[in-house]
Amino acid sequence: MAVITISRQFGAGGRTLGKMLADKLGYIFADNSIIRKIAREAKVSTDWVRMIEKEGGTKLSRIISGMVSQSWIERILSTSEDKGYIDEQLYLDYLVLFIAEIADEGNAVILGRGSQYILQNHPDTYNILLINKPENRIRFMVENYNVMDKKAASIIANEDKRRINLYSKLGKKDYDDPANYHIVFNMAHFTPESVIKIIIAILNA
Amino acid sequence: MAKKILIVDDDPDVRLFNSTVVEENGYTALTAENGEEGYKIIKEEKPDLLILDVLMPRQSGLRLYRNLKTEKAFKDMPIILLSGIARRTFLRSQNALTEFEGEEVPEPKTYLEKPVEPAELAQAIKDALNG
Repeated sequence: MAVITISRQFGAGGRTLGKMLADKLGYIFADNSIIRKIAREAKVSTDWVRMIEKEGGTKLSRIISGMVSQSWIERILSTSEDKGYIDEQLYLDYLVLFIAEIADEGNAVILGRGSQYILQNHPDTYNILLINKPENRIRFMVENYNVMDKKAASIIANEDKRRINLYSKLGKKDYDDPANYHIVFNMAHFTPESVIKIIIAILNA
Repeated sequence: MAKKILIVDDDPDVRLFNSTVVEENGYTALTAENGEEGYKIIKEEKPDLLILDVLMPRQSGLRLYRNLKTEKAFKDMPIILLSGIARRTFLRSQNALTEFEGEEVPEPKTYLEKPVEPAELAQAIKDALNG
Protein backbone atom coordinates (compact mmCIF):
# COMPACT_ATOMS: atom_id res chain seq x y z
CA MET A 1 0.00 0.00 0.00
CA ALA A 2 2.93 2.34 -0.60
CA VAL A 3 2.62 5.82 -2.03
CA ILE A 4 5.46 7.45 -3.93
CA THR A 5 5.50 11.18 -4.54
CA ILE A 6 7.76 12.44 -7.30
CA SER A 7 8.76 16.08 -7.18
CA ARG A 8 10.97 17.34 -9.92
CA GLN A 9 12.51 20.19 -11.74
CA PHE A 10 10.66 20.29 -15.04
CA GLY A 11 12.59 18.36 -17.67
CA ALA A 12 14.29 16.13 -15.11
CA GLY A 13 12.15 13.25 -16.37
CA GLY A 14 9.60 13.03 -13.56
CA ARG A 15 6.55 12.22 -15.67
CA THR A 16 8.39 9.61 -17.74
CA LEU A 17 9.87 7.99 -14.65
CA GLY A 18 6.63 8.19 -12.66
CA LYS A 19 4.65 6.48 -15.39
CA MET A 20 7.29 3.76 -15.85
CA LEU A 21 7.45 3.19 -12.10
CA ALA A 22 3.67 3.00 -11.75
CA ASP A 23 3.44 0.54 -14.66
CA LYS A 24 6.20 -1.62 -13.17
CA LEU A 25 4.56 -1.70 -9.73
CA GLY A 26 0.97 -1.95 -10.98
CA TYR A 27 0.17 1.31 -9.15
CA ILE A 28 -2.01 4.14 -10.38
CA PHE A 29 -0.16 7.14 -11.74
CA ALA A 30 -1.69 10.45 -10.69
CA ASP A 31 -0.45 13.44 -12.67
CA ASN A 32 -2.79 15.47 -14.85
CA SER A 33 -5.70 13.37 -13.64
CA ILE A 34 -5.65 15.49 -10.46
CA ILE A 35 -6.16 18.65 -12.54
CA ARG A 36 -8.93 17.00 -14.52
CA LYS A 37 -10.65 15.96 -11.29
CA ILE A 38 -10.40 19.47 -9.85
CA ALA A 39 -11.79 20.91 -13.09
CA ARG A 40 -14.66 18.44 -13.13
CA GLU A 41 -15.57 19.14 -9.52
CA ALA A 42 -15.42 22.91 -10.01
CA LYS A 43 -17.19 22.65 -13.39
CA VAL A 44 -14.50 24.65 -15.15
CA SER A 45 -12.09 23.71 -17.90
CA THR A 46 -8.66 22.25 -17.16
CA ASP A 47 -7.20 25.39 -18.79
CA TRP A 48 -8.81 27.49 -16.09
CA VAL A 49 -7.30 25.32 -13.34
CA ARG A 50 -3.89 25.51 -14.99
CA MET A 51 -4.20 29.28 -15.18
CA ILE A 52 -4.93 29.40 -11.44
CA GLU A 53 -1.79 27.32 -10.89
CA LYS A 54 0.37 29.36 -13.18
CA GLU A 55 -0.67 32.91 -12.61
CA GLY A 56 -2.11 32.97 -9.13
CA GLY A 57 -5.20 34.86 -8.05
CA THR A 58 -3.84 38.37 -7.76
CA LYS A 59 -2.17 38.52 -11.12
CA LEU A 60 -5.05 36.63 -12.71
CA SER A 61 -7.57 39.12 -11.31
CA ARG A 62 -5.50 41.96 -12.70
CA ILE A 63 -5.40 40.36 -16.12
CA ILE A 64 -9.12 39.66 -16.11
CA SER A 65 -10.20 43.04 -14.75
CA GLY A 66 -7.99 44.78 -17.26
CA MET A 67 -9.31 42.95 -20.26
CA VAL A 68 -12.74 41.43 -19.96
CA SER A 69 -15.37 40.67 -17.36
CA GLN A 70 -14.95 37.66 -15.09
CA SER A 71 -18.41 36.38 -16.06
CA TRP A 72 -17.34 36.27 -19.69
CA ILE A 73 -14.17 34.34 -18.80
CA GLU A 74 -16.14 31.94 -16.62
CA ARG A 75 -18.66 31.40 -19.39
CA ILE A 76 -16.14 30.59 -22.11
CA LEU A 77 -14.00 28.41 -19.89
CA SER A 78 -16.87 26.54 -18.32
CA THR A 79 -17.29 23.00 -19.59
CA SER A 80 -20.97 22.58 -18.91
CA GLU A 81 -24.27 24.36 -18.79
CA ASP A 82 -23.93 24.82 -15.02
CA LYS A 83 -21.85 27.82 -14.15
CA GLY A 84 -18.45 26.75 -12.91
CA TYR A 85 -16.38 28.47 -10.28
CA ILE A 86 -12.88 28.14 -8.92
CA ASP A 87 -10.57 30.40 -6.97
CA GLU A 88 -7.20 29.82 -5.31
CA GLN A 89 -8.74 28.70 -2.04
CA LEU A 90 -11.11 26.20 -3.64
CA TYR A 91 -8.25 24.95 -5.82
CA LEU A 92 -6.15 24.32 -2.72
CA ASP A 93 -9.01 22.59 -0.86
CA TYR A 94 -9.69 20.25 -3.76
CA LEU A 95 -5.98 19.64 -4.29
CA VAL A 96 -5.34 18.50 -0.70
CA LEU A 97 -8.54 16.44 -0.60
CA PHE A 98 -7.87 14.61 -3.87
CA ILE A 99 -4.19 13.94 -3.12
CA ALA A 100 -5.06 12.70 0.38
CA GLU A 101 -7.81 10.52 -1.11
CA ILE A 102 -5.47 8.95 -3.68
CA ALA A 103 -2.88 8.29 -0.96
CA ASP A 104 -5.44 6.77 1.41
CA GLU A 105 -6.43 4.30 -1.28
CA GLY A 106 -2.72 3.41 -1.57
CA ASN A 107 -0.58 1.91 -4.34
CA ALA A 108 -0.07 5.19 -6.13
CA VAL A 109 2.66 7.24 -7.74
CA ILE A 110 1.79 10.94 -7.47
CA LEU A 111 3.57 13.53 -9.57
CA GLY A 112 4.27 16.88 -7.92
CA ARG A 113 1.66 19.47 -6.89
CA GLY A 114 2.84 19.69 -3.31
CA SER A 115 2.12 16.04 -2.63
CA GLN A 116 5.38 15.73 -0.66
CA TYR A 117 4.02 18.28 1.84
CA ILE A 118 0.41 17.08 1.80
CA LEU A 119 1.51 13.52 2.59
CA GLN A 120 4.46 14.25 4.84
CA ASN A 121 3.11 12.15 7.72
CA HIS A 122 1.30 9.61 5.60
CA PRO A 123 2.39 6.06 6.43
CA ASP A 124 4.33 4.15 3.75
CA THR A 125 4.93 7.27 1.69
CA TYR A 126 8.28 7.84 -0.01
CA ASN A 127 9.08 11.33 -1.24
CA ILE A 128 11.46 11.44 -4.21
CA LEU A 129 13.03 14.54 -5.77
CA LEU A 130 14.56 14.56 -9.26
CA ILE A 131 16.96 17.33 -10.22
CA ASN A 132 19.15 18.02 -13.23
CA LYS A 133 21.23 20.77 -14.81
CA PRO A 134 19.28 23.26 -16.99
CA GLU A 135 21.05 22.18 -20.18
CA ASN A 136 20.22 18.53 -19.51
CA ARG A 137 16.59 19.39 -18.82
CA ILE A 138 16.38 21.19 -22.17
CA ARG A 139 18.01 18.21 -23.89
CA PHE A 140 15.55 15.84 -22.23
CA MET A 141 12.63 17.88 -23.58
CA VAL A 142 14.11 17.99 -27.08
CA GLU A 143 14.73 14.23 -27.12
CA ASN A 144 11.48 13.10 -25.50
CA TYR A 145 8.89 15.69 -26.52
CA ASN A 146 9.97 16.45 -30.08
CA VAL A 147 10.50 20.20 -29.59
CA MET A 148 13.31 22.51 -30.67
CA ASP A 149 15.89 23.86 -28.17
CA LYS A 150 14.31 27.31 -27.93
CA LYS A 151 10.83 25.94 -27.41
CA ALA A 152 12.11 23.48 -24.80
CA ALA A 153 13.81 26.30 -22.89
CA SER A 154 10.61 28.33 -22.99
CA ILE A 155 8.47 25.40 -21.75
CA ILE A 156 10.91 24.80 -18.89
CA ALA A 157 10.90 28.49 -17.93
CA ASN A 158 7.09 28.47 -17.94
CA GLU A 159 6.87 25.33 -15.86
CA ASP A 160 9.46 26.62 -13.38
CA LYS A 161 7.25 29.69 -12.97
CA ARG A 162 4.19 27.50 -12.41
CA ARG A 163 6.13 25.54 -9.81
CA ILE A 164 7.23 28.66 -7.96
CA ASN A 165 3.68 30.01 -8.01
CA LEU A 166 2.12 26.75 -6.83
CA TYR A 167 4.53 26.47 -3.91
CA SER A 168 4.12 30.13 -2.98
CA LYS A 169 0.38 29.38 -2.68
CA LEU A 170 1.34 26.67 -0.22
CA GLY A 171 3.64 29.06 1.64
CA LYS A 172 6.66 26.93 0.72
CA LYS A 173 10.04 27.90 -0.65
CA ASP A 174 12.07 24.90 0.46
CA TYR A 175 10.78 22.46 -2.18
CA ASP A 176 14.28 21.74 -3.49
CA ASP A 177 15.66 21.18 0.04
CA PRO A 178 16.85 17.54 0.27
CA ALA A 179 15.62 17.41 3.88
CA ASN A 180 12.04 17.21 2.59
CA TYR A 181 12.69 13.97 0.74
CA HIS A 182 13.60 10.37 1.35
CA ILE A 183 15.82 10.32 -1.75
CA VAL A 184 17.10 12.92 -4.19
CA PHE A 185 18.29 11.74 -7.60
CA ASN A 186 20.54 13.88 -9.74
CA MET A 187 19.33 12.64 -13.11
CA ALA A 188 22.58 13.71 -14.74
CA HIS A 189 23.95 10.47 -13.26
CA PHE A 190 21.03 8.02 -13.46
CA THR A 191 18.79 6.55 -16.11
CA PRO A 192 15.07 6.21 -15.32
CA GLU A 193 15.53 2.42 -15.33
CA SER A 194 18.27 2.53 -12.69
CA VAL A 195 16.20 4.88 -10.49
CA ILE A 196 13.24 2.51 -10.75
CA LYS A 197 15.44 -0.42 -9.66
CA ILE A 198 16.63 1.54 -6.62
CA ILE A 199 13.11 2.60 -5.62
CA ILE A 200 11.75 -0.93 -5.98
CA ALA A 201 14.66 -2.27 -3.89
CA ILE A 202 13.79 0.24 -1.17
CA LEU A 203 10.10 -0.72 -1.27
CA ASN A 204 11.03 -4.39 -0.93
CA ALA A 205 13.63 -3.87 1.80
CA MET B 1 -39.14 26.95 19.90
CA ALA B 2 -37.67 24.13 17.84
CA LYS B 3 -33.90 24.10 17.47
CA LYS B 4 -32.57 25.13 14.07
CA ILE B 5 -30.30 22.78 12.15
CA LEU B 6 -28.51 23.93 9.03
CA ILE B 7 -27.78 21.30 6.37
CA VAL B 8 -25.03 22.26 3.91
CA ASP B 9 -24.73 19.84 0.99
CA ASP B 10 -24.62 20.31 -2.78
CA ASP B 11 -26.62 17.13 -3.44
CA PRO B 12 -30.37 17.89 -3.43
CA ASP B 13 -31.21 14.27 -2.56
CA VAL B 14 -28.97 14.41 0.50
CA ARG B 15 -30.46 17.76 1.54
CA LEU B 16 -33.95 16.25 1.25
CA PHE B 17 -32.97 13.13 3.19
CA ASN B 18 -31.28 15.11 5.96
CA SER B 19 -34.13 17.65 6.17
CA THR B 20 -36.64 14.83 6.53
CA VAL B 21 -34.66 13.26 9.38
CA VAL B 22 -34.25 16.66 11.06
CA GLU B 23 -37.93 17.57 10.81
CA GLU B 24 -39.21 14.12 11.80
CA ASN B 25 -37.21 14.53 14.99
CA GLY B 26 -38.85 17.84 15.84
CA TYR B 27 -36.22 20.32 14.68
CA THR B 28 -36.36 23.06 12.06
CA ALA B 29 -34.29 22.40 8.95
CA LEU B 30 -32.44 25.12 7.05
CA THR B 31 -30.52 24.27 3.89
CA ALA B 32 -27.64 25.61 1.81
CA GLU B 33 -25.98 24.28 -1.34
CA ASN B 34 -22.36 25.14 -0.55
CA GLY B 35 -20.08 26.57 2.11
CA GLU B 36 -20.46 30.15 0.94
CA GLU B 37 -24.25 30.06 1.11
CA GLY B 38 -24.05 28.14 4.37
CA TYR B 39 -21.88 30.79 6.02
CA LYS B 40 -24.39 33.53 5.12
CA ILE B 41 -27.20 31.55 6.74
CA ILE B 42 -25.06 30.84 9.81
CA LYS B 43 -24.51 34.59 10.30
CA GLU B 44 -28.19 35.42 9.80
CA GLU B 45 -29.91 32.51 11.53
CA LYS B 46 -27.31 31.34 14.07
CA PRO B 47 -28.40 27.68 13.88
CA ASP B 48 -27.96 25.35 16.87
CA LEU B 49 -26.23 22.68 14.80
CA LEU B 50 -24.59 22.32 11.41
CA ILE B 51 -24.64 19.17 9.27
CA LEU B 52 -21.84 19.69 6.78
CA ASP B 53 -20.71 17.96 3.59
CA VAL B 54 -17.02 18.21 2.60
CA LEU B 55 -16.74 18.23 -1.19
CA MET B 56 -18.87 21.08 -2.51
CA PRO B 57 -18.67 23.82 -5.18
CA ARG B 58 -17.80 27.48 -4.49
CA GLN B 59 -16.67 26.82 -0.90
CA SER B 60 -15.83 23.36 0.41
CA GLY B 61 -16.88 21.97 3.77
CA LEU B 62 -13.18 21.60 4.52
CA ARG B 63 -12.91 25.40 4.33
CA LEU B 64 -16.18 26.26 6.08
CA TYR B 65 -15.26 23.95 8.97
CA ARG B 66 -11.87 25.62 9.18
CA ASN B 67 -13.33 29.13 9.07
CA LEU B 68 -15.92 28.40 11.75
CA LYS B 69 -13.44 26.74 14.10
CA THR B 70 -11.11 29.73 13.88
CA GLU B 71 -13.85 32.36 14.30
CA LYS B 72 -14.63 33.32 17.88
CA ALA B 73 -18.37 33.71 17.32
CA PHE B 74 -18.82 30.22 15.85
CA LYS B 75 -15.99 28.04 17.14
CA ASP B 76 -18.26 26.29 19.65
CA MET B 77 -21.11 25.63 17.23
CA PRO B 78 -21.65 21.85 17.10
CA ILE B 79 -20.89 20.38 13.68
CA ILE B 80 -21.64 16.96 12.26
CA LEU B 81 -19.52 16.21 9.22
CA LEU B 82 -21.48 13.99 6.84
CA SER B 83 -19.55 13.13 3.72
CA GLY B 84 -18.58 10.58 1.12
CA ILE B 85 -14.98 11.54 1.88
CA ALA B 86 -13.44 9.23 4.50
CA ARG B 87 -12.71 10.69 7.95
CA ARG B 88 -8.97 9.98 7.68
CA THR B 89 -8.84 11.80 4.33
CA PHE B 90 -10.60 14.80 5.86
CA LEU B 91 -8.16 14.84 8.80
CA ARG B 92 -5.15 14.51 6.51
CA SER B 93 -6.44 17.36 4.35
CA GLN B 94 -6.98 19.59 7.40
CA ASN B 95 -3.44 18.79 8.58
CA ALA B 96 -2.10 19.77 5.14
CA LEU B 97 -3.98 23.08 5.28
CA THR B 98 -2.58 23.66 8.77
CA GLU B 99 0.90 23.01 7.35
CA PHE B 100 0.31 25.50 4.53
CA GLU B 101 -1.70 28.15 6.35
CA GLY B 102 -0.50 27.85 9.91
CA GLU B 103 -3.72 27.79 11.92
CA GLU B 104 -4.60 24.53 13.63
CA VAL B 105 -8.23 23.41 13.93
CA PRO B 106 -9.63 20.74 16.27
CA GLU B 107 -10.73 17.38 14.93
CA PRO B 108 -14.49 17.08 14.39
CA LYS B 109 -16.31 15.44 17.29
CA THR B 110 -18.75 13.72 14.94
CA TYR B 111 -17.85 12.46 11.49
CA LEU B 112 -20.29 10.27 9.60
CA GLU B 113 -19.44 8.66 6.29
CA LYS B 114 -22.21 8.43 3.67
CA PRO B 115 -24.45 6.55 3.31
CA VAL B 116 -25.96 6.94 6.75
CA GLU B 117 -29.11 5.40 8.20
CA PRO B 118 -31.85 7.78 9.44
CA ALA B 119 -31.62 6.41 12.98
CA GLU B 120 -27.83 6.91 13.04
CA LEU B 121 -28.16 10.51 11.89
CA ALA B 122 -30.98 11.20 14.35
CA GLN B 123 -28.87 9.86 17.22
CA ALA B 124 -25.83 11.90 16.11
CA ILE B 125 -28.00 15.05 16.02
CA LYS B 126 -29.35 14.33 19.50
CA ASP B 127 -25.86 13.69 20.89
CA ALA B 128 -24.39 16.79 19.24
CA LEU B 129 -27.17 19.04 20.57
CA ASN B 130 -26.76 17.62 24.08
CA GLY B 131 -23.05 18.41 23.95
